Amino acid sequence: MKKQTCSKPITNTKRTSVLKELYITNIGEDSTLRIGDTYAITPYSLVYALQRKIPTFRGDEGNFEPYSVFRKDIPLPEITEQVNLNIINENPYIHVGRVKIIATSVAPVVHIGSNCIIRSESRTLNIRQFNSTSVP
Amino acid sequence: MSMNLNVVNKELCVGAVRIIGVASSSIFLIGDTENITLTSAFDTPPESLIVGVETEIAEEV
Repeated sequence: MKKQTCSKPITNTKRTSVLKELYITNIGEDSTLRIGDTYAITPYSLVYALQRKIPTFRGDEGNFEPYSVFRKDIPLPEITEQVNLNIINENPYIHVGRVKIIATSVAPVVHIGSNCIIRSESRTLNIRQFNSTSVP
Repeated sequence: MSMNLNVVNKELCVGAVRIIGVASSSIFLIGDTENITLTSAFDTPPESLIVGVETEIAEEV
């Protein structure tokens, strides 16, 4: 796969983001909130979610290794086309009035500002254990 | 073969944005970018719903 790189210095091609108000109630697991420019952001998150009807947990349970969802390679799209991109920023600003977010969780990015590369990955395993008399 | 793509960014003005949740490898971006690659895997294996005697899951190593 072609290595992902930024074609030009960030200040030459990217606009400035202007945000007046930002409200976020909760920033959860593996989340990124970034105000300002970045080159690369690569969040990565593994989740093992276990629900039991009777909530007894030994404390040393849970192992990612037996499950293929944590090991399998996720195929990425291959970029073979040659694209000559020419951007003209007639207005060098992006204006946004107000942003309200209730919650973020499991490897998301909330980014105010310009960026070159974002590469995010999350893998989740969900297991529920119920007693035979208490099927939902 | 190559492709030429010309982009002219004029005025961009947004009033308000309301979001309930940003989850599992997603992006909310105000700004310019070049490369975004997001992957997310969610698995419910055969043992994902177990009804009956409570079984132990694999131990930590």
